[in-house]
Amino acid sequence: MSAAAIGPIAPIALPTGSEVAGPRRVGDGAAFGDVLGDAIASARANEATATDLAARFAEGDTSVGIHETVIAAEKANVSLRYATTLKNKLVEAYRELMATQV
Amino acid sequence: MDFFSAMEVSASGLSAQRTRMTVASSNLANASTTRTAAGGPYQRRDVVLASVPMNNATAGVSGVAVQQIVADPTPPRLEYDPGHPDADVDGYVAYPNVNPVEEMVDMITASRAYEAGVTTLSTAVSMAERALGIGR
Amino acid sequence: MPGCVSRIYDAVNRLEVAMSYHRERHSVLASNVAHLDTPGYRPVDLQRAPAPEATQPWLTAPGHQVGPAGGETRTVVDDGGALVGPDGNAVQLERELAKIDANRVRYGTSAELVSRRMALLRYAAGDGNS
Repeated sequence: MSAAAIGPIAPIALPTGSEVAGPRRVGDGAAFGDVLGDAIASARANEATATDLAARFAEGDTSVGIHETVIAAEKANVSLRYATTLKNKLVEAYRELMATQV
Repeated sequence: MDFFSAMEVSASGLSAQRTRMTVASSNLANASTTRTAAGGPYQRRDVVLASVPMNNATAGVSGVAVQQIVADPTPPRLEYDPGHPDADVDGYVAYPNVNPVEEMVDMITASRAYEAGVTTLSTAVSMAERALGIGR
Repeated sequence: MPGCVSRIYDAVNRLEVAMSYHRERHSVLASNVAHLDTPGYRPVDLQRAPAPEATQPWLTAPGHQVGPAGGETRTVVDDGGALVGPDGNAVQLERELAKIDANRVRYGTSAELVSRRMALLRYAAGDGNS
């Protein structure tokens, strides 16, 4: 198996402009865009950590343990799934909005 | 880190115990050797163990190594047997200072310690495999 | 809420710290077994004291990375009893093997708990789709 570095996850450009109204805050809740941004940032950070640990483990770095490497990979997996789900929800909501008959 | 240093520690224990086994076997095999190249009867050998630091050692973790194999200075056992080719002027034959029962006990304890080391080594491997199984 | 995403791994992080403790403890116990016949050797054990923030997770800053020891202190303690052999060695094999076994089970249990927690999070992250 080659140890080619995985490129970082590019941030998704949120829809801006007149098509979508600005983020609405209900009470003290966070804007959905902020939650999504946070999730993506988390996913990037976790993926970077996992890749770094895996690379160091493969090189024989004795400070990296097996369970640390495996758990980091699992976290990266979950974080990416979460961010993807949020993105899908946003796209779905956008499409629904666009399909609304005015 | 991980389990590799623990495995090295266990491996050092196995090596040390195997040396003890070898030395005990040698003592046993030579229990009646009255003639050696150095002259005189076989001298019983003893294994001296000492702790040695391991690579990437964390506190409390140390390996074991054979520091030296020393000759037992106990004088040989004298038996009166004037007809024996190695009898001295008084008719006494000098037999090695080896007690076969003691050597057998040493072999048994070394063997038991070796098995304990193997169990410990296997435990480290099985723990590592449990870690690999996370998320599987 | 910014930083709330990293909080979902709190339980996993604590389990990870526990696993690293059990791994370290195995090394120490393995040393005791290796020194079964070393003259003058006294067996040791690894004790841990949880970090103050472990009992109050809300004090941890969001996104705070837990280090290998997770803030908990681990100390090597002399664990030898009064039973000392003629050469000064105080290791009791059965006791050490029992401790090694118990430690192994705890490590495995922590691994299992991490697995199950991750499966749960995976399910949630996929919005109910596996």
